[in-house]
Amino acid sequence: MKKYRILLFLILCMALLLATTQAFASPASTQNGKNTPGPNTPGAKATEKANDKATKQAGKPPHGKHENYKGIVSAVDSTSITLTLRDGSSVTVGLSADTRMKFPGPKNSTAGSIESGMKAMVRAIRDQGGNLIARAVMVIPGKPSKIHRVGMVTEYTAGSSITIQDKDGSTYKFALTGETKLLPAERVGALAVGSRVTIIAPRDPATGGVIVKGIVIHPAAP
Amino acid sequence: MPQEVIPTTINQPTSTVITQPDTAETLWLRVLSPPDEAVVNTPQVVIVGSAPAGAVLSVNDDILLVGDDQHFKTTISLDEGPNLIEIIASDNNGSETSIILAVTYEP
Repeated sequence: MKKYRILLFLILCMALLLATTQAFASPASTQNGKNTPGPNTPGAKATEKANDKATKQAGKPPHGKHENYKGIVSAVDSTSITLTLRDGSSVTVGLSADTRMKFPGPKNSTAGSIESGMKAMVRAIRDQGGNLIARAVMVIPGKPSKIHRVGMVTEYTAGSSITIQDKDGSTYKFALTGETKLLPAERVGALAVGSRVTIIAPRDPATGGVIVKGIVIHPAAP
Repeated sequence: MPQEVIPTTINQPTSTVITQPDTAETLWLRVLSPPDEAVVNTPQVVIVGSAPAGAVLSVNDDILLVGDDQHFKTTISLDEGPNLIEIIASDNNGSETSIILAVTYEP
């Protein structure tokens, strides 16, 4: 009988010890059932940032954020454009009536003006279904839309036209307007037949016209 | 040559854009900022680079003459969304080289 009481006492002591150990070992789980720091602690903010980062790395940025893609057009029609990106991957973006087209040349371009093989940049946004929809498509030309022509002035009518002959003997005639820039200011008065100049003008007269953007007058040869 | 930091650039430059001349002449063009495919949050971007002294430069509709320090700097207005920035350099011999950047303005 005495042994039974001692055994019962030991069992009660062990049960009490076990309960005390559990209570100290997991205070959070006993208080709110979640083993996470509170919302205003640094740990919670770090977790939030990590979750955001993981979401971005998964390739699913939050809805409403713009995504920019630059690549070579591999397919295009009136409803979508597909780019091959630098890393070899492809992205297809939907086109809509609100998609803005930017071309270096003609202003009234449409998706039909885009051809496979062109370099382009697309600014897109995801719709509710996660599909990319283009907000803007910009074609990147292989060469700049302007050209610098260096030569000797052979004809010049201020405010009207200028003709130059380059080092190969080719002649180029351009139109001048009041907006044509002349520089440097200290040599503007020296512009005349025989001056050596650089003309900045549209590269393709068919699309850009022949109006000179600017004329740089070089110093007279010593 | 010190690289200037442009505060309006959101993504950091990954490399300097350098071109080789299209002829055997000694024309060259470097753009230090912004990098190609930069995304900025202001409606203007400062183009910083270098080219030989005396070179004629056009940056979109701006025309510059490169000074003796071989540096150039100009500010270009941007439309919302993707923008093209065409930088062309030429010398007195008629050589020409160029860099085309795509810069996106996101307000």
